[in-house]
Amino acid sequence: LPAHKVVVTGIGLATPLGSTWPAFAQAIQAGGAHFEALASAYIDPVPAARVFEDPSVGLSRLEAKLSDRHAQLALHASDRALQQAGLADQPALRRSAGVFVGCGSGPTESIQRAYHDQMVDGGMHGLSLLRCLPSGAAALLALRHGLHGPALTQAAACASSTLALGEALRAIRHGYLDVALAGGAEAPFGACTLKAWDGLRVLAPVGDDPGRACRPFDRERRGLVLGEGAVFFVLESQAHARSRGAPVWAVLEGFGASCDAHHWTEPCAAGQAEAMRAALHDARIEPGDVHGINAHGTGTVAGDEAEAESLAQVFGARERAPWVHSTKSLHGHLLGASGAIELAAAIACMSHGRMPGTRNLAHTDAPGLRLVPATGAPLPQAALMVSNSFAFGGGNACLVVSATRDPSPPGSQTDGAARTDA
Amino acid sequence: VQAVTRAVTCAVNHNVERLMKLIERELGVDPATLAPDTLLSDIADSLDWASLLTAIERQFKLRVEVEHGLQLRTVSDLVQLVAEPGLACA
Repeated sequence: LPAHKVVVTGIGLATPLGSTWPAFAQAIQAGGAHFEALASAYIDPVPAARVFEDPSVGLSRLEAKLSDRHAQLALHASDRALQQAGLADQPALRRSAGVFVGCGSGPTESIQRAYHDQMVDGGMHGLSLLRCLPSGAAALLALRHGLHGPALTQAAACASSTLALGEALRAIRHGYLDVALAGGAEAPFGACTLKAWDGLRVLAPVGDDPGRACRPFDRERRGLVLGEGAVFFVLESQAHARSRGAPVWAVLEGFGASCDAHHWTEPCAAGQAEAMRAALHDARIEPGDVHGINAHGTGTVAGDEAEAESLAQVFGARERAPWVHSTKSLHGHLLGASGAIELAAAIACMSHGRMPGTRNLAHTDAPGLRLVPATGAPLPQAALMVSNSFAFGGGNACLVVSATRDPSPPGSQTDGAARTDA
Repeated sequence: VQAVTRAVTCAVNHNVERLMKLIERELGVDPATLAPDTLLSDIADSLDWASLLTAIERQFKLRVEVEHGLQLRTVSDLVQLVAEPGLACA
């Protein structure tokens, strides 16, 4: 089979950093989300990054009945991705597209509600089974947009959406699809889900300022901060994008994945390095070709330590290594959607020609990492970045993405035609 | 006897009112547009039907078995289903 170059022609957002590309890109460069101290029924308040829009608005009656909150966020993000790609009004062009959804937890709010309704209130809704399907978001996206390719759901905890994007990349590259809608969605703020997270003792304490709770690679880091949201990409073969004059915001160059097969929650640097090397090999590049890394960088003690080691294994000594930052302290940890929002963050950085420093990073305990300073680090006109996603269960997934600097980054829903392939 | 009849009629009417509210909520259909012979297949697809039947079961504390459900074809059939005055107390 011929190998097709895979390009990004649309990016759709429903995130704690907003729902439009300009707002998102600006927040990545300076600011970040509003983090709140989220109160819930069974645990003390935790820091959290929430989506402000009400995702139940704008859905059909049946979509509203059938969709968990994460699926509702996915529906909105997918609308925006197709709009930006110029496919919103082109049902024939998107008809054969595939759907690739990454979600780590699934429809947890709906499951909680259905079980509560049955056990406490005496009866669950008649459509609870459908609303609680892990594949519900993928089915809803295919239905809403009339996408007749395969509709797949990837569940590999925090690596889910990176795996979804990687599998979409492979499907297009090898000619099985011309177009894919791929990304991730997560909504982890149900009371029982929060209680479950609390049990693992990995959530950062809220402290005096929820905005300072997430501290990736800082020696004072205390844990991760949950976020919710959805990010979807329209991926196309370069030939297909060119044939319809579509805007191209980035090129998905490579994908690699591995499993530690080591421990449920203790990360393994060797397994992470294996995924990164596989992604570089897939992109046909060397470690020295990479300019920047959006680390998984959750802010847990063990996670950041292992990633610092795996990055050193792959990219070598600090002097030769690419810049490293984590954007989780800007948008929270979107779990199964983290890879998707961080791919968008990497594209935003390359569009601006700059990686911002890691928010809340003051004193690192990883001196071997070439961490982006607080003032930021420049990226070249044509940059290559790696985005890492590492998961409970030992799953590791990495993407290599390239983009060119653009003084007017994507955002206008109609101005994309002026751009050429990155 | 008249008082009993009035009470039964009142209870049945109350049940029908509740049924119409469920139809409006679960199907998004205005009850004013319905006639006794309106076909349920014209106002509900299989998902709507599952929603409505579950809601009826819960509201009226009854169980509609699969075979019985297949025999319900019109709005009138649904009205008969809930037109048991005793159900009003459930």
